[in-house]
Amino acid sequence: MGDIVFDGIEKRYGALVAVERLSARVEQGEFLTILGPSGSGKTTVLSMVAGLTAPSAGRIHIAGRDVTDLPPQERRIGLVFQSYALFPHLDVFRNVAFPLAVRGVPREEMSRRVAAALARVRLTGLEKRRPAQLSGGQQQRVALARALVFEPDILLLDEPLGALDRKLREEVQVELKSLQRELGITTLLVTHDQEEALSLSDRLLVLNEGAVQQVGAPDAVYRRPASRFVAEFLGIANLLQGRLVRGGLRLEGSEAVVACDAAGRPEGALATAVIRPEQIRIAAGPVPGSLPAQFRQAVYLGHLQRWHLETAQGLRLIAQAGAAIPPQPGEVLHLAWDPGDAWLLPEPGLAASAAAATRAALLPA
Amino acid sequence: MSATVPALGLAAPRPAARRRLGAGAYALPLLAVMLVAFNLPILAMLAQSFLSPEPTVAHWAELVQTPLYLRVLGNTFWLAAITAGVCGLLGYPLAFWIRTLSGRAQLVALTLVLMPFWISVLVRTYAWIVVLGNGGMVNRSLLGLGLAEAPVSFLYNTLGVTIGTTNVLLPFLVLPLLAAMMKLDERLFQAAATLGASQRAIFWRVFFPLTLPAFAAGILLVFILTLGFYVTPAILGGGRVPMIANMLDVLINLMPRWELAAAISTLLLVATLGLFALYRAIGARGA
Ligand SMILES: Nc1ncnc2c1ncn2[C@@H]1O[C@H](COP(=O)(O)OP(=O)(O)O)[C@@H](O)[C@H]1O
Ligand SMILES: [Mg+2]
Repeated sequence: MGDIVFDGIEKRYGALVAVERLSARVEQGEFLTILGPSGSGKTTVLSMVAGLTAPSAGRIHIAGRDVTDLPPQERRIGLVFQSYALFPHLDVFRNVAFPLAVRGVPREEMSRRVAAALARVRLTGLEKRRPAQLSGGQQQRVALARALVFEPDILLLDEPLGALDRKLREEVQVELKSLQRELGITTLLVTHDQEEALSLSDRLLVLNEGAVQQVGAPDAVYRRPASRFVAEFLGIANLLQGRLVRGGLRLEGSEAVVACDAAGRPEGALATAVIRPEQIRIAAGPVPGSLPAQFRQAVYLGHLQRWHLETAQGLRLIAQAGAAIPPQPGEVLHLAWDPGDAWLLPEPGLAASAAAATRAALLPA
Repeated sequence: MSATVPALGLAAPRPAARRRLGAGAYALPLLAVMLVAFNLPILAMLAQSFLSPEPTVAHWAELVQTPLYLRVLGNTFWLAAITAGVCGLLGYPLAFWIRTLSGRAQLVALTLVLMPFWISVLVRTYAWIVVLGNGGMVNRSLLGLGLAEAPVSFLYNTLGVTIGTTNVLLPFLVLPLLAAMMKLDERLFQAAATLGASQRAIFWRVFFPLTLPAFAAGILLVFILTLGFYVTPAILGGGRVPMIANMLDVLINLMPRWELAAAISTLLLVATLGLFALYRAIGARGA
């Protein structure tokens, strides 16, 4: 059991910077998710922790040990690959027993520990099956049991739910989270799936093109994104650009002033507000701070619907509606929200200092 | 509703069945030609061992009771086993090494392995005489360097034949084995490493077992192919390492004892088919 410290690690492939000076710390027992689009360097970070890729610069510490120069065998990590990488020639029992067998654990103790690991992932009774005879969800659980059976210091998961269908995914998410809590094992997960990231993690680290965009609790990152990229990558974001005026934000190329909390920024300053679809209310008529927009189309999602709207200036917005009956296309609706729900993105000058503050907060003590 | 379900259930397989038959039908004329021009004559010839001049088992009795024939049969299988063993011992490390090379070097190595395929067996076999004969390059070098007192007999014995058969058959083992090795998912070995397996444990617990079906199939293939060798034992064995094919040559062209040759050929065919079934079974397990 232990924490993971990234001390300025970097990975270059020729001119390509796959991971840029990453400094962060995953606390003992924490579940941290690295979230980023495909190609942002997530797998590279994970394989540097696992010792499968050597960093170009920086150090990595696991449980207080500098493991940067250690081979994977000596890092005491449990890694679950996206493809599971189960040994096709071994049955479930022998797959899970593998890390114990190579450590020379006596037969009796091995049987006991494998049985316990399989019971924990609810696979008892399938010991004799080959991986090819298992469903995707079962294979995933075998991979998890195999990664945990030798009691590693940390658990690494590379898009572990990516290959599962939607329904199974939520089930496994719940199981994974409760298992992680039960064991109290420090866990680093990487994914491009924001729902997975938001639901599982204690904290998120958003990565784009190898660079850290933001670190924080899921709720904080979702509600107070540090950049346009983060706002748009996590969920749906309505971005409104304009200048701050008394009582709100005057939208670019428009007279409309929408509600927002200037949060101490000077009047006349440029600002971008982020409003989430679920924060938008449809007002009965024009009210101070509301924004008129034409209804275009409703997207029905079963438990909710999304209304797509467009302002006179051509700005497209998405609002979340419950069970309301959609209006006729072309009808003008008045969109309102609480000033406090319109989050102002840090402006470039401010963003730099905010980023610096984030970095300072992340650096290992 | 209840009426339509069984109807659909019955109707469904039909189009598929018709399609399968339809595709197969195009090959029927070809199959007929093969059967008439190829397989029937062979069967007719093999049948001689039972039917010539009238239904009898006398030829088989003679085969079983003549130690010479049995010795040649045994010798052939023994040589096939040696060749298969040597090809296995050389081929596995060779394929393993080629797998680790980078793209360009891999191409060069593969070309070198494949080279024997592009040269006539006859030329290649005679080339071994130039290299390994008593007055050949190797022996002259050994004598010249004082490493040997008298020429070493590489040829006209089991060693010479084994060198020849191994040279011809090594690619048959290396190519499919290399293909199987290249197909393996690199992540399995990475996973094994993170699970604490040393390089040696990764090889013996993961890599080797996963290549074993292809390896066993390759060894069996070499074994089967050696059983039919004629030119190599004839030249490099100098008549002192008789194999089935050479014995058939004598039985047919010198004696001539067609019935006996047919009996021996039947035996060889049955043994080969049996081994081939085993080869297929091993291959299917690895796939
Ligand atoms: N072995 C490699 N050689 C060259 N470039 C690589 C290699 N591995 C990854 N990259 C590049 O590094 C970047 C990050 O890759 P990766 O970590 O796999 O991203 P992610 O897992 O977030 O999809 C990508 O641009 C990828 O093309
Ligand atoms: Mg990846």
